[in-house]
Amino acid sequence: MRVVAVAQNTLRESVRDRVLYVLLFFAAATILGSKAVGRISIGQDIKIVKDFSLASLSLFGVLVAIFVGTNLVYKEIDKKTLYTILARPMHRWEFVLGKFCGLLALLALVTLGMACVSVAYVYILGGTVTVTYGYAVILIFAKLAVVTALALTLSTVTAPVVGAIMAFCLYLLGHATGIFLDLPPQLKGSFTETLFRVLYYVIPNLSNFDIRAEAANDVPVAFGYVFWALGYGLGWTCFFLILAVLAFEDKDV
Amino acid sequence: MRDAERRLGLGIAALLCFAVAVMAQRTLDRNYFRNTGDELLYLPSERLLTHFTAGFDSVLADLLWIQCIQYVAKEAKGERGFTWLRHMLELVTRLDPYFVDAYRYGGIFLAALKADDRASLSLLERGMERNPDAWALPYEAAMVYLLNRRDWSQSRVLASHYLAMSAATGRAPAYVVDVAAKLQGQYDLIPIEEEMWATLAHQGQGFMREMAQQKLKEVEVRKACRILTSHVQRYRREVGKDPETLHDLVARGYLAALPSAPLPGEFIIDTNGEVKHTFLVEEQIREALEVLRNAIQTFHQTYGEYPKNLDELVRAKILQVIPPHPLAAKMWTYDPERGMVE
Repeated sequence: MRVVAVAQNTLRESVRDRVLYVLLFFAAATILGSKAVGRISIGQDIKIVKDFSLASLSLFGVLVAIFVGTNLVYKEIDKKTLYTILARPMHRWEFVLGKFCGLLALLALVTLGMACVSVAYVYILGGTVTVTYGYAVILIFAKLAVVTALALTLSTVTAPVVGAIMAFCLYLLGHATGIFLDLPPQLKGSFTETLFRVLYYVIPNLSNFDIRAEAANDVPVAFGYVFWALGYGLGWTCFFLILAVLAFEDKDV
Repeated sequence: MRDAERRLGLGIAALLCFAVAVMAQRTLDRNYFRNTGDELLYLPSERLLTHFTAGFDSVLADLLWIQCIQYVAKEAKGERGFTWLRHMLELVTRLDPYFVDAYRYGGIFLAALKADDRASLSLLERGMERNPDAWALPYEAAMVYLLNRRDWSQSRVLASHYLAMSAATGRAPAYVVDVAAKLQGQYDLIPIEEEMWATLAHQGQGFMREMAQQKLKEVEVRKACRILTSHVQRYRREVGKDPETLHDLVARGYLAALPSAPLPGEFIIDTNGEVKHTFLVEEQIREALEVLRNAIQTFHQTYGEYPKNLDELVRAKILQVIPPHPLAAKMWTYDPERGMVE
């Protein structure tokens, strides 16, 4: 119940954040403007609208998760509002979980809203979407959950700017983990190969959540893949949340 | 009031600053135009690029595809080198392996504009592997065999094989089955080619439509050449010698008037009695040279040296036949030192 109360407050507070509306404006502009890009693509306008819609869903969602997420706990400490909250009979883990759930609820609203706009736009332009498009939106949301948990963890240990930079770097690295397995043959069997293989598993592989090419081209994706990707996302989200709780419990406030 | 005036003044100042920025940009573009052709040189390898797109592979593929179309349109109206076309298509399809139209139209660009049938088939085959349900890819591969490799001994068999693959997807339109039937029954490729370009001219947009319309004009001129050649042969049989010019056909009443071609250039009688059109001859020379240069390049990459003569390309199985010079009395000149063919 206390978690829900914190989550509700966080959602209310995040909705008031002006950064959110700036990002939403750019997301909507990208989705609606993608038709203009598609005009010079030899009949690929619907595919391009789908591609740009899913990309803006992902990009602007990540920006919201990072910029709002890295501020979540830090702002409470900075404004000293945290003391009044912690003075109540509330565990610190409840506070962290509430913050996370609040931001995730905001991201769910943003993702759902933008997905509805993009699907409506595709239909208005005469295109259709398949179930893969729905899967792609769900996996984007799963990715946002991982990034939010990561941002929240960083919010408990660093200042927002440093946290945002670190989260963004990890986000980029998370899409490039494939390179750790794509090594030149001369490294086969070496220590470097072992090290890179370890890194491959230590850094969250965010490309697991990208089935946007399949969605834009109406290529079917097995439900099993979506299921396991969601499981992967859940694993990493819980991992980061536990780290956030541990860091926050050790924090001297 | 004063505050409103101040705000209005600031608004006007902002607009003026914007106007200055636009003017400066226009001046830079007009007077300091930088050739952007070389920027393609810095496109990274497709193997590396996929790791550093931050998950935006398909959006990058779209943007690169649009740049690719602009590049093709620019080259088609300019130098016709298409140096970076293959690399760009590799990048687009590596970033978005399900982008069927990039394989399809890319294959057409490579075959019809760059005359690189090998690259076109390689791209289309890769597309077929990733998109086995796409009827258009085997259909375009069949067209490459029929149009670019028409002189190859197995071209019809392989084209039939690809057309069967296309029909087997269960999604191919009726004309694909018609082409397969025509291929079985007759050996005239002009109607098949005409149908292919007519379909693209009808379905395509922008540059693709322009290209298909241009190709249709070429087909029309080829048909006119064929009719004129039959008149020249008749003239030869009845008069006992070749006409000196095509006007002789009109003078003798074989033709009411010379046909007007929808392309620049003129009809000429080749030394073997065939009627040709100068525009098509130039196009054929360019395409044949492109085929030869690509083959020489492949030979050089494989063996580390240039072939000693052009026949070596056939012996190395890079080409099945050396494309003949479109003018009967002329031959290709080849420099084995530099690997240059003219």
